[in-house]
Amino acid sequence: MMTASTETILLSGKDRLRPETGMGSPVGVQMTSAEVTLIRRVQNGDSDAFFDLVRPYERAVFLAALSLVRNDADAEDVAQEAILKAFKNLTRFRQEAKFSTWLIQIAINEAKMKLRKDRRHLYESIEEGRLGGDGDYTPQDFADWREIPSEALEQKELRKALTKALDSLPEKYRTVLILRDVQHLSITETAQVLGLSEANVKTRLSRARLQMRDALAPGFDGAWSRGRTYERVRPFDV
Amino acid sequence: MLSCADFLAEFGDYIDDTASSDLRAHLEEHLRECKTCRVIVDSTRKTIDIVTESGCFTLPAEAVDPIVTAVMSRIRQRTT
Repeated sequence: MMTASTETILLSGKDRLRPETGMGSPVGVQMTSAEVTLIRRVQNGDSDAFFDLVRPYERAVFLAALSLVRNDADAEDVAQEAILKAFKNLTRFRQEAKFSTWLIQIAINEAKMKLRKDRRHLYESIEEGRLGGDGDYTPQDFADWREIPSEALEQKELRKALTKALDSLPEKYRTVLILRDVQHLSITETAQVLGLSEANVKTRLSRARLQMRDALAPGFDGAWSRGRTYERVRPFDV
Repeated sequence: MLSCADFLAEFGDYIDDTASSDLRAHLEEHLRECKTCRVIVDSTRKTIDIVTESGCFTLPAEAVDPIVTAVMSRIRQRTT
């Protein structure tokens, strides 16, 4: 829905950015007028305006980096490099995607470069192979979960389990889950950021959610459960 | 009727409420007969709620503020 404070910017394919910093196919994009103004100010040489432009997205950039590099110090380094790269390349930004999507894509690319440099992805690739790679994911847990009381969401145990569960996901699933369910990017935006088809994003998202579900399930069989029997249903038949 | 495997292949759109009406009808027909898939849908929705509502990914301002501040410092050094 268009509002007075937004404007739709449609640009043609010839205005696409370079692959290392740009987006995929052109889409209709809504950005706030304030954001468009800030971008123009920076593009015209007002570098201080860049602070106001990127500040709303620093958390998103940090989390996107963290979903790949998996430690705070590296995520901070990657986020800094990504934001600096966005500044350097802002004159080439043609607004065919939202600025936030473009910025997060740069962060993802920077994080991937960092992993390649550190060669850590090799170990993850081996682990992903062991876990079945791109093959179908079959759910492991069939318990009927109880209702989750709101106070449970505040429990340290749940937070710890959630972090551990997220960490257990292969990189390609963890990143999609963070972008979609934590950052609330759309399927289209997630596909743009990761350079994947929307179908591929949907597949990875479903598997990520199922694996998170299985990773969290034991908590609902004991640690967080009070007063209800853990009800198992028949084994899954696929 | 869809098998459980067929259901699982399509259940992402069902969870996100983006399935077409025809597909939704097929999926719901399967769900009426399959308790396992009902359980999976329910617990997956709860998983998404936990991920989105737990606040585990809400970073304190002091954790991210230095990032943009540091970048701006580098930018100002470049432009002066």
